[in-house]
Amino acid sequence: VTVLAGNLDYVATVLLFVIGVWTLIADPNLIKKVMGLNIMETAVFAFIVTTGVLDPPSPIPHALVLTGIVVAVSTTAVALALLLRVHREFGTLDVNELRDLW
Amino acid sequence: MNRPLAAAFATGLAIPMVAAMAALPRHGSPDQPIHTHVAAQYHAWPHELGNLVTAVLLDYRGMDTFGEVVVIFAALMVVLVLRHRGEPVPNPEPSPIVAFIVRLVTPFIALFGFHVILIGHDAPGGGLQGAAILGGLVLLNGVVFGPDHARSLLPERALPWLQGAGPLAFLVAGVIGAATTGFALGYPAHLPVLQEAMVIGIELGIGIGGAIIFSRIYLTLEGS
Repeated sequence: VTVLAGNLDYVATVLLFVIGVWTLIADPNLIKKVMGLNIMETAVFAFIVTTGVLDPPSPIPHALVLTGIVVAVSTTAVALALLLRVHREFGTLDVNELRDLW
Repeated sequence: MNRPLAAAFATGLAIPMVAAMAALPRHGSPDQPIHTHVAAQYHAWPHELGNLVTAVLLDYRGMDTFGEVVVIFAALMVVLVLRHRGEPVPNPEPSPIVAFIVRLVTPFIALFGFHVILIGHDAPGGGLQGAAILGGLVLLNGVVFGPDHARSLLPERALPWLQGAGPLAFLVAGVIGAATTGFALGYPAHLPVLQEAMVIGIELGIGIGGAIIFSRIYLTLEGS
C-alpha cells in the first residue's frame, strides 16, 4: 500500500483505463463505445505523461504522446464516419437493436 | 450486455496492471524504463535544432513521422469515401456576444497557430500542435456560425493539394535529403540554410495539411 501511495498517479491512470474498458464492453450504444476507446487512449497518454516528469525533460514521452494522439484522432474519425453510415442504414446505434435487425 | 461479467473482466484487468505499476520506479525518477533505453541515443544524436522533440520527430524518427502524416491523410480519405450527402445543416443564429467574441479572437488564434508551427524547430511547438490549433479554430467557427461559414475559411481551389501537404512536404524533403546526403530524409549538415529550410518546410506542410485534414474531417462528418 505504501508503494502505491507513492505512485498514486499510476493508479489513477489504471482506473481511467478500466473505466474506458468498461464503457467499451458494457455500454450498448456504439457512440459511447467509441468514447470508451478514447478514454482508454487518454489513460495511456496520461500514463506516458506521468513517466515524463523529469528534469531535464526527456523527449521520448513527448514524441510518443504526439504520435499516439494523431493515431487516436484518425481512428476516432474513421469510427465516427462508419457509425454515421450504420445509423443511416439501420436508424439505430444500439447493438441490441442492431442484432435484432440482423 | 452481461454487466457483471464486464465488471469482473475490468477488475481482473486492473489488478495485474496496478501490481505491475507498483513495481515501477517512483514518480519523477530518472530510473523509469522510458528514460533508460533509447533516451541516451536521442540525447547523443547530433542536431542543430533548439527543440529536441522536433529533432527526434523529424530527424531521428523522420520516417515514423512520415508514416504518421500518411495515417491522418488516409483517415480523411476514408471519411470522404464513407460520406453521404444528407440534408444541409441549417446555419445557427449565434448570440451577438458569442459572434463578436469569436470574430475578435479568430485572427489571434490563427496567428498563434502559425507561430506554434514556425517556432517548432527552436522551442516547444511544431506542425501537429499548430495543426490542432488551426483545426480547432475552424471547428469553433463551424460550431458558432455553421458549417458553411467554416467551409468558407478554407481555400477552396487549393484544397486538394493542401490536404496532402504533409506527405508532399516529406516527399520533397526526402528527395532533397537523398540528393545532398545520400540518405532519404537526411539533413545536410554542411548546408545549414538548406537544413533549416527543410525543417520549416516539413513543419509548414504538416501544420497546414494537418489543419485542413482536421477541419475537413469535422465538416464532412457534420454534413453527412
